Amino acid sequence: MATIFYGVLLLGVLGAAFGLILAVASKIFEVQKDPRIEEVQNTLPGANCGGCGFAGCAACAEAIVSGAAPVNACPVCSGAQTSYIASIMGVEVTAAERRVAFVRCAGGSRANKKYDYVGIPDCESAARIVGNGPLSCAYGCFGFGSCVRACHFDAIHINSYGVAEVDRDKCTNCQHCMEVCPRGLIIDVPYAADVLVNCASKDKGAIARNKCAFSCITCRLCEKNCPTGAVSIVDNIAVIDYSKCTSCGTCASKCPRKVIQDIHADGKVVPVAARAAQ
Amino acid sequence: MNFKKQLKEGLLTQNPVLVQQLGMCSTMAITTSLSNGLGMGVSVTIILALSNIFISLLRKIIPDKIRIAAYVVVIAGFVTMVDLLLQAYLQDIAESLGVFIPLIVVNCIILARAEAFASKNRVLPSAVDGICQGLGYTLVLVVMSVIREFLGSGTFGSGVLNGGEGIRIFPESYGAQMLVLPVGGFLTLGVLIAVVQWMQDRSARKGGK
Amino acid sequence: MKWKKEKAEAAVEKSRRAEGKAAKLQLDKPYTIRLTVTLLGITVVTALLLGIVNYMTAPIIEESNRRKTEAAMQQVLAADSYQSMEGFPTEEGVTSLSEAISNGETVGYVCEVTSSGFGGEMSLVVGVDLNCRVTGVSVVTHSETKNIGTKVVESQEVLDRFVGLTSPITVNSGEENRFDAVSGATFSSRGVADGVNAALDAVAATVPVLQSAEEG
Repeated sequence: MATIFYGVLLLGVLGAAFGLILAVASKIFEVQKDPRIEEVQNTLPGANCGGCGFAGCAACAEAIVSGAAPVNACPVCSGAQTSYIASIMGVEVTAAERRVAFVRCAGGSRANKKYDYVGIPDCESAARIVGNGPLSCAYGCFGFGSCVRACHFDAIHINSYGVAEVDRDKCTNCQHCMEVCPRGLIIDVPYAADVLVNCASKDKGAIARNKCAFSCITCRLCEKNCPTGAVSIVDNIAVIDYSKCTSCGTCASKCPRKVIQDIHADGKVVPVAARAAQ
Repeated sequence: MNFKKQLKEGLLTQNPVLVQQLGMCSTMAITTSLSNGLGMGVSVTIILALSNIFISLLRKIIPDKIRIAAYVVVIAGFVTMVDLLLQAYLQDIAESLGVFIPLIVVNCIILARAEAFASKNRVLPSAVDGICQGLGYTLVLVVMSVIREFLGSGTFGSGVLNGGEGIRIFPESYGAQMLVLPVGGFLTLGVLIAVVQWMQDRSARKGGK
Repeated sequence: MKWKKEKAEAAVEKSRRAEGKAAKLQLDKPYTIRLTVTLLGITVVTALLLGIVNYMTAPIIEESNRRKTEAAMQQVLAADSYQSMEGFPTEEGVTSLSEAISNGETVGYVCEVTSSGFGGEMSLVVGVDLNCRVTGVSVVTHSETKNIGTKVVESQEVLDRFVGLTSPITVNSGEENRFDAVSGATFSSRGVADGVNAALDAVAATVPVLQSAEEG
């Protein structure tokens, strides 16, 4: 019995002593941290994807609380999560328009090739090979999937035409694919946008036509026929200003090369590259 | 709480030794015979389950700053109890495992699961998690023991079968004794981890497509 | 006098900083009490439970150890009874020394020693006769590797090689009192040899009769 008593006494004294030491130490070495940071961090998805531009969710939480980032800095957060973060910070959340990534190419494996590329299936490597890569077009998609590997959300894949295609419902606009693509093919467009320019070629006329059967040849029909002036030609490629676009689909119907796609034309969402084949 | 999912995680996808890479030193040191592997595995499973249960019960009471001290006290308490019970009722296993029973206190798996799971979940899921992770650990121990013992000394089931001698499969002189030494532990564990990584890679690629 | 001025300024800065620090150090009483009491509670409950389990298992463990040791003693130097002695040197790991008595006469000595093997501590029982020679060695507890170290510690044939040797026993060298280690199990072999040497030295140091016998 004595051993039990001494054991309990000794361990009890040790426990109390360490509890006390830790209590004092935690006060002496305390780092004043805003409690809102932890609250915000717990709301963030915790995927550490870096889509906000900060080094992970912890850094994003700190930035939001310190004011360096807006409350909707995280593109992955749902509307409800963003509103909750806004309420922690005591501000109103402005409903940000949802944007998704979009790959501006329809050619892929159907585009003309300069040579057969046998090597590492990586877009960045291929782009450094002689002549800016194996495609005739200096702006086209190789289809080797560097963007696919960069995506944390399984939202981009190489389709059957050898072009990277974004799953608009899974995409969170974290922009990793955009950073990785050596051709700068991927841009972000509003989720609601249904008229899209499916080419990024800055070549014009016959040059563009010879490089790929689905290229924009800078005929300017879209620009001339757009009722709201949303379409303009910049660097020999059509660009749509979505603040002006009314989704009338005129440019799409006028385009002789079927480069501009109206993806909701018949009420269905058809993969963009597939439309170029029709 | 999905028992099947937690079991699959504990055994394969989140196996504490091969995937999370926790508790490796005891794995390499202990797996020289089947009885060692089984004995250690079962002991760790019991302690893991018990400590998970109690830490989960106490999770709302333990203040954040003393949580590590509290976890270690609970774990050490259970390890000592298991050590005493083994010495009293199963001396052979206690002797065989020797100094590695007290070392269960600092087995990374137990502290990691306490911190990552038991401190944030209710009692029943924590208990299940403890058992499943413990089973995963035991599985690795048994597999490694069988491999090392068989290739290293030519027996199977040493300490358990055939009155403790194990079934002799081939004469001892043909065995690669190196495998029963610490070197063999590193090699075998390395190969097992590589195999599991390859399996996971393959299933990820399949799923990805 | 520039350095004196700098020194004074530094001292003023230091005291100002210390003041600021003391002001920040406001111990939150309820928080401190909560930490202390919680850890105290956990350790007390754990200690209690441990005490109970120990109370239940200690007699069983002691009994089984005692039986093992007695059996080992009988094996290394059979006798009617063993009387434990006092005043033996404990530096080399000797934990007990007993006189083996048969028919009222001392027939030898039995020594319990601990030494280090490959897998940790092992405890031996060594029997020593009146000429300070080994009568038998038995390994009571060990953690040697199966099929390597156990070739030494669990093989009576190997342990019997110590019989008749006297201090100092050398491993793999020398002519007299030589013990050949089991190949591949050097650590375990040396561990046993160290233990036997310690036992022999302890007996020689404690029993005056044997001491003079050596000199003679």
